[in-house]
Amino acid sequence: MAKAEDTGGRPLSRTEITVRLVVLTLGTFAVLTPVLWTVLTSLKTAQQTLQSPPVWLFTPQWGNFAEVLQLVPFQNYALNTAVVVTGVVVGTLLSCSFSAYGFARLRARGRNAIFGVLMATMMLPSTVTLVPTYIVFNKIGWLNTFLPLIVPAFFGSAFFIFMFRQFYLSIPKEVEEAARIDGAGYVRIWWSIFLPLSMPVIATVTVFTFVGTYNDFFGPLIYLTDESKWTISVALSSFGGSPKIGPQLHMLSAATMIAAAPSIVVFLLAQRYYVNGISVAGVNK
Amino acid sequence: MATTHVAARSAATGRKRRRSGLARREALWCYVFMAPAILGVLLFSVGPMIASFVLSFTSYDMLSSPEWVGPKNYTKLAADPLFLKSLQVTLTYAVVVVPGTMLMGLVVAILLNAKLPAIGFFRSAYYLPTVIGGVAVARVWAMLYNPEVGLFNQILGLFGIDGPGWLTDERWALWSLAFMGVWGFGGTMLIYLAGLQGIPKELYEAAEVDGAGGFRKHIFVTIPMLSNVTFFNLVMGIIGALQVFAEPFVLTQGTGRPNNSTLLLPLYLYKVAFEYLEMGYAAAIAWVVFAITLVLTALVFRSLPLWVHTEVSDN
Amino acid sequence: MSSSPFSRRTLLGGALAGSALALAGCSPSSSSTSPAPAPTSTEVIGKTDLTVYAWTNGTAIDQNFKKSVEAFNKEYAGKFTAKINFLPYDQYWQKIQLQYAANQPFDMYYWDVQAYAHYKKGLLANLQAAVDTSELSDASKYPLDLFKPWKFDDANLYGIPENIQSMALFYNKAHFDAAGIAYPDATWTWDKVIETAGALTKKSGNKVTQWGLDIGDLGVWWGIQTLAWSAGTAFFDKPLEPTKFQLDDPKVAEAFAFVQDLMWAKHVAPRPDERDANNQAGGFAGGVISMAPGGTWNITSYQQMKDGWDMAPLPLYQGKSVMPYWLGGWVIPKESAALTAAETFALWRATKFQDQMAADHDWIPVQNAARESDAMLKGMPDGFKAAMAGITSAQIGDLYTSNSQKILDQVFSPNLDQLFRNKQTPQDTAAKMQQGATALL
Repeated sequence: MAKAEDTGGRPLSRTEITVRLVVLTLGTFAVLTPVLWTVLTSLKTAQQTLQSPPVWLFTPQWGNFAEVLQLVPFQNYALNTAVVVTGVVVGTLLSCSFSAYGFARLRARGRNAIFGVLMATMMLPSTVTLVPTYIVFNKIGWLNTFLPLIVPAFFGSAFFIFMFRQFYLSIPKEVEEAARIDGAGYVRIWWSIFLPLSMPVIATVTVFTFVGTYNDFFGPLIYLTDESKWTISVALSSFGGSPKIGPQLHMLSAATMIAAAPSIVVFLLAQRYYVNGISVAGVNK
Repeated sequence: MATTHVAARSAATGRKRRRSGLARREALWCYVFMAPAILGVLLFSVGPMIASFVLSFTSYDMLSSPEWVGPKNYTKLAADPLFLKSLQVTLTYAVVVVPGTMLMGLVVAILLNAKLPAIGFFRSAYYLPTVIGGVAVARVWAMLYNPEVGLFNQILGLFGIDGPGWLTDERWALWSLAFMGVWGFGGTMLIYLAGLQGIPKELYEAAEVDGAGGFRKHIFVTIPMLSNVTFFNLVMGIIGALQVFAEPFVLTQGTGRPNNSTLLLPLYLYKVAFEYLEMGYAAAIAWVVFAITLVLTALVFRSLPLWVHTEVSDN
Repeated sequence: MSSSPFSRRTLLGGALAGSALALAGCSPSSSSTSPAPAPTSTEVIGKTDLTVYAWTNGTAIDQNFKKSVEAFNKEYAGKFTAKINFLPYDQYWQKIQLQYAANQPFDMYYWDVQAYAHYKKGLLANLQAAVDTSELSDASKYPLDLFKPWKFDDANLYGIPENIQSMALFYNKAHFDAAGIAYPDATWTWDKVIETAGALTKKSGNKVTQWGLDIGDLGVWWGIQTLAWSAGTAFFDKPLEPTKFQLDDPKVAEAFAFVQDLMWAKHVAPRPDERDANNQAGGFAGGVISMAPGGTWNITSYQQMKDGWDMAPLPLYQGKSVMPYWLGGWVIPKESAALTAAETFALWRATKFQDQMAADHDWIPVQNAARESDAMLKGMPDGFKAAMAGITSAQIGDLYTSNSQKILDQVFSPNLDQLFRNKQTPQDTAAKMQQGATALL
């Protein structure tokens, strides 16, 4: 293992390492407590959840999870969520990498101004655009469909365009020129050269988009009517008042953990992309 | 933005060249490539922004045609006790959560920015809360805040303290919500961490030569060197704090109870737009929120020279 | 969450309804003005696939709803095919309105007062003609006077009633037996209830393990209004399009004080935070409460109770007890895509289905015979008949005005919440409600 160093590159003494580790461990424990408590609750019996002082030692009721899956059509919610997430990820990747190629590698009058406006939209609170957007989607009959959730993803997103553009700017000109000599058009260059090269960005954008869309609540809440169309987050929000699950803390906890699991797993599998992605943003700003 | 300069420079050289057919073709393709983004900006940002501004001068329930009412929605807002309450609640929330998140983020980032055993684990652990969606976060915390069998009151009970109804007592509900908000400091932390890694080690060495200890080093080197990151976190934090919806919605069944003490602006906006179908009024609220965001951001920008350490840029 | 004192009466249960026949002239797809024929011979207006919307009431009730839809499909095989969708109550009205806005209204949906605003906007179909062709207009079979509040224009029904609800005092027989106290009956006053509640309350150390009383549905505006009725006043001058609120009547503040005192001054009933805890333990159905005034829609959830339970008429307040009632039923959008099917379904539930509804014991049928049938009484507690005896002279516990939801959400609920949490005096509560409601009217 590398020698322990602090922010300034100064080697840490044994005591300093110990102190830091202790502080960090305690902090980690504090930060994870809410999740751990929920996991614990999800494994208790109904009666144990109501005991005071709390029971710490008990036989885990793994069956609670099976019961939740039986009480509500989770598979159905999961399928809906998968459709929305897939649509948004594909749309975001295509549109953002496509547009970023223009911003990064091609020249046209007004390009930088357009890019500036695009970046400025990042600061626009979504509340401002909400009402008219909703009205339009409602009036064109997209209510109770996945379209309002997916279609906008095909029109780019400032932050991800920025990430792709940063990456494309770092690709040497020669790569492109060789292809031009072979007679390749811009679209082909983007598709068969730039896109394959940008795997690290694609991974980062995918992970961010996945977690963001998976967790999105407001959009599905206002656009989806029937329970058969619900995504997991909307379903989870309704369990509190649900006569099936709501009043029972162990069921509610189990449902919460089932709902939170996919984004946690994706995050754990793709941690390094998070750090990469944030670095791009952080260094630039 | 260093990269923009590079792009700008190459664009400038491009302009000097005589416009050949090739350049025209390139420009055409450039617009084609930018088209999705341009359309996106027009359809989902600028267009709706203007539309919502126009709409804010109408009365519109989506069932009959909009009716022009002039500035009535705005005058109504000024006298709407729920809106004023909501505004106050939101600002209080932001004043707690934004600095709270930034402070936690910075401190933990400094602690984590070291080559330590299991550092990867720690980073993930602190970031984890941010990947859990708002609805699940609300559900998780509801378990902790449960007045009878929640963790907090169980612990207080050990000391013979009868804990409050964290979410049902008007004095506590907003603070409980804010505490939950600070829990999600992982995003800010990661950005600080990225910033910390960009600070040249020489600066610390120089500070050490000057006799600065661990704490003073951070005061004199880390914090000034991170001022641009702090700025970014501050602006994004303000925008984010004004958009919190899922947590109060789930925890209060969309009511903002008790006594509207958790009625954050997005929740009020939601009720006005989708429960009462007062779309014009909702648009007016949205614009006021937007204006507040702009003013706050402008204030932060104006204050920039006072506290942001400007480095001689690399070009 | 069931812990909210403001859960609408409908939270636990919901549905019932009437049925209706097509009013041909109302349909967008037909210019025929012929009188509406009986459902089996009527010209089908709109789709034959019908989607019925109701809010979710728990597994048992939702299941019975589904079964009734299956029975309907069987009876009308080849003609109509219905399916039912459930939505959570806190999203139900938003969704209905947004579908209207999208010009894709639901085919039909279960009624609650919010639908009155839809009538005011001209969105609901006039169902009188359809009702007239069915036995639902037969005064010998149905309590027609009780339907009057749904004649929003004083002449025509805009909803098809299928069930009826009221309030009663529910009590846990096991608790009374253990304490050797005689069960409540129609002669009980609130004083007697309070005295008995004290005797039934059990403590273990500092913690109350059994509450003699819970304010139950007195925690909701229409519940507390029944006390005002008994005292000879009401929250507003009339339920349909009130012209003024009268919460400034000192008798209203007196009723507020009465309920507040049950929790705070006398503390014979749990305070809001204690109620939350109680509800976690299952509330009345969980056997931690001895008496609770509540809506009859609670009956379903009490059926599975371990302890024996029964019901009595609401206790006398200032010497009187006035019974409230509510109608359950269906409304149908004018622009419903399946107008005939919707009317047929609603009328079928209000007529042919009534016996099965009685046997299901989730809703109380509007049809007199079904309501008083052996099937209804069997499985119901002994006190059911007595508690429901006064239903035909009950008063409607609703408020019909286009702004009612706003008044309830923004004025009534938060102010009563403050009252029950002892943060606001009864006088201030009444004054604020009067002022706030008047401003919104």
